[in-house]
Amino acid sequence: MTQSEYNRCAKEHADGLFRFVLKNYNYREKAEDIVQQAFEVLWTKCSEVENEKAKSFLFTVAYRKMIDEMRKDKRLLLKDEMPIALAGTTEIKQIDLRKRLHAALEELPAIQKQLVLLKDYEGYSYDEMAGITGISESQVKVYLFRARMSLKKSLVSIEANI
Amino acid sequence: MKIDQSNYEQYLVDHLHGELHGDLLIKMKLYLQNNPQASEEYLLLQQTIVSSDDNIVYSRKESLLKHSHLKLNKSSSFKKIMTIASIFISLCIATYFVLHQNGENDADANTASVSSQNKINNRDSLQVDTTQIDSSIPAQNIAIAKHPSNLNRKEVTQTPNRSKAPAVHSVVVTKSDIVTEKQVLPAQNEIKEFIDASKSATNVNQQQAIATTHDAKFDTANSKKLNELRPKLNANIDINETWARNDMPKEDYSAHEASSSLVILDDNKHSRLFNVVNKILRFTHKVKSTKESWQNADIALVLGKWTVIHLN
Repeated sequence: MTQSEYNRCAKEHADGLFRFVLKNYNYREKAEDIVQQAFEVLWTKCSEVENEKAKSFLFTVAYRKMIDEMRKDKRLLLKDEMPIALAGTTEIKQIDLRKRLHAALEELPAIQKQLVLLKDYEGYSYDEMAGITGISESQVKVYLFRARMSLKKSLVSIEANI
Repeated sequence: MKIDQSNYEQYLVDHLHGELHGDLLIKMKLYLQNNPQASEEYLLLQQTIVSSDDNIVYSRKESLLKHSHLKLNKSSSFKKIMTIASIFISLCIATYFVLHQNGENDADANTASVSSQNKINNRDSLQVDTTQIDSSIPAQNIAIAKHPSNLNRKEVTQTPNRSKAPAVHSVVVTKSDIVTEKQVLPAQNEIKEFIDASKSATNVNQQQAIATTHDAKFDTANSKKLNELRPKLNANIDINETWARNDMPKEDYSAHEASSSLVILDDNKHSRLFNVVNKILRFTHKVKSTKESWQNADIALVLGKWTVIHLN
């Protein structure tokens, strides 16, 4: 990709990449650093990366850096699946669905949350998400299914409580 | 693949994610139409889609942008600049040599033109040669070369045209190279006296009388100076210092006396002068000169501190 393509890529995808990282990794400064690093890597590999694949490349780099950072911080609960525990349902009765959904998202295992965000924020296909996260397409499919079921369950419980 | 109660949830999620195509998509739509519960569940799943918060923006976006001086283009830009610079320098050098060569050719052509004119108009060529010499001699040398007898000549006092390139065969030698009795610069005091006396002259006769009087003083001064220079002359170069006086025809000698800045020799004198000047050229300037080329040349000697030998 050329310099102008790189700049266009930065303008178009920096915000989306930042939202994705920030949503997964709740430290704003760290998220900003990860985005910066991802673009630096893209720039250094400018001659190798095609313009059409620049976005996927960025998300892949950012995703891996984010995982590394999360592991360093030990903030990540490395669990395959965590049961949704919606404690204090009475307290959240007044919370609108959108906030509750985000709260439920936070309760998802990291990989599921990341896949949901990649799908919902950026609209990646199973295949592309497999490339970014480094897992197989069938695993992506399974994780996403579990994530949707969990989120649906949380929404059902809210409605039941309301 | 059939969609039924046992597997519809998986397809429902795939449908939500836009991953169903072709027959499966049609089957899924039919299944939803025929199963209100599945359709309701699908609506619920649609609510699990997380929308991004557009208010969240990356604040350091500008720092990500790369500009023209950046890394990838740096080396190529540098190479381009250096290439252009080297081409420019090469062009300058080539232009210099071309112009220099043209200047030489022009000078040769001009000198040849003057030469032929001189041969036709022997006496008139004095002024032509004077102008030509004036344009080729540095201003300070012209001033020194002025002889008192010549001060009323406009040609000698003209400001030299410095922009004109000197002829390639013009050779400037100092008095240590060639000094004859008539080529020694009179003392500055005698020159000043002559200038002051000339100013008081009211007609030509008076001016000639003043010149005759002062010429004697100049001869005395010249002889004195020649005696001072003689050891150096003998050490450096063997020149017949009396060649001009002994061999120069009376009329040419008179002309020489009148102008004192130029000596125009006819063809008979070329051979004689060749021996003298060629020795100077060979000795001091390592210039190769053939007798034939010399004989075809007009010669002008500007007497004084500087002696200019002008060859075509």
